[in-house]
Amino acid sequence: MNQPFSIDWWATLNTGEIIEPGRYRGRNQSPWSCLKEECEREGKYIVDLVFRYGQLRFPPGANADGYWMAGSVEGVMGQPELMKTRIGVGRVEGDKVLITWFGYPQGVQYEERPATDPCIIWRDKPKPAVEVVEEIEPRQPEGLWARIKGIFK
Amino acid sequence: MATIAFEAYVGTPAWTDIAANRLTFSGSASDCTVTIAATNFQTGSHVSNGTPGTDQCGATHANNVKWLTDTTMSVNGAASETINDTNLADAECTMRIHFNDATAYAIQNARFYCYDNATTTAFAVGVDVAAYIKAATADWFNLNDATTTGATGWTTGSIGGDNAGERIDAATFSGLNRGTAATDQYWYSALSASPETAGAKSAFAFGWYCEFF
Repeated sequence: MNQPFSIDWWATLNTGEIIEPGRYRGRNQSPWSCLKEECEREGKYIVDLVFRYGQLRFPPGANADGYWMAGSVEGVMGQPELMKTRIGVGRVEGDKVLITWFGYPQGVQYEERPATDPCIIWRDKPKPAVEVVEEIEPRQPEGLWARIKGIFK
Repeated sequence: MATIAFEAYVGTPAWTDIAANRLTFSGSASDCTVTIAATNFQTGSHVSNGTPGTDQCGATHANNVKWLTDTTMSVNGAASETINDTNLADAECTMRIHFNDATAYAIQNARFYCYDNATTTAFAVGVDVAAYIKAATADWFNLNDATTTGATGWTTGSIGGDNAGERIDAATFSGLNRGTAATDQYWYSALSASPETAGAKSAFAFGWYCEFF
């Protein structure tokens, strides 16, 4: 089995608060999920993030559209010694998230993927992937429908 | 540290880590060394220490869930029934995947695949494998279909490995994700296998990947 790790970080919010995982000690979900929940509930967002992995300090960059953080674990049946774990941190740019993974034995890996994962803490609420245009049908009150049709005559 | 374990319902019985053993499919509910006729699906599922090796199940063998059609199964030799979350109890599953960490985590981007025990993107050699994961797949999923030889419905070939469309993944089966955080997360699964030709098949393994946050 490979190296243990811990997910450690500090985040600067738009309110000026600097948050560390210890703030959420004893909660029934991970500190990152707690922060995500707090940001969504209170309209806060991250303006800067520093990810800490052992002696390494890794800042994915300030003022991103969102921040991504998760661990991964992969294993195969019958070979527990081949289990692989990683921790990753990423920044959202537009509709993509750029992730830097740290793990053993994989080392540092980079990945770009669509910014759709639930672990993302967004600067603003995520925009829908497809713009939804409300369809107005004739069942609308007749007067309103007539006025709308009139506009496009 | 986050870990995953593949567990079978064996022994007393209880969910037990397969660890360095293997899940072995055989032609007998009580004997892991009995071969399966080519293009037939298994009669028994076992935890053993080789191919086939010696049985490690203990008093109770692993549950056997046999593929009959893409929507039906036989559980431990019983009559055909539709495969669904109601008919297949947790304690009737072939195995379960167990994620554990001291911290409660939610899960995203999980995926389950069958491969050749060497390269994760390569299909397992000489076997057809059906898989069902509770709360995720609607019915049996063709997880591995090595060649055009096989039972009815198993003649496509070159299917398997950790590849989109050839694995059970959260992109297609969102039920694999876990939105509620927990220190232990489980995925209950039925697995059924058929050799395409006579002889033991060892270039055949299962893998699991997930992300936690």
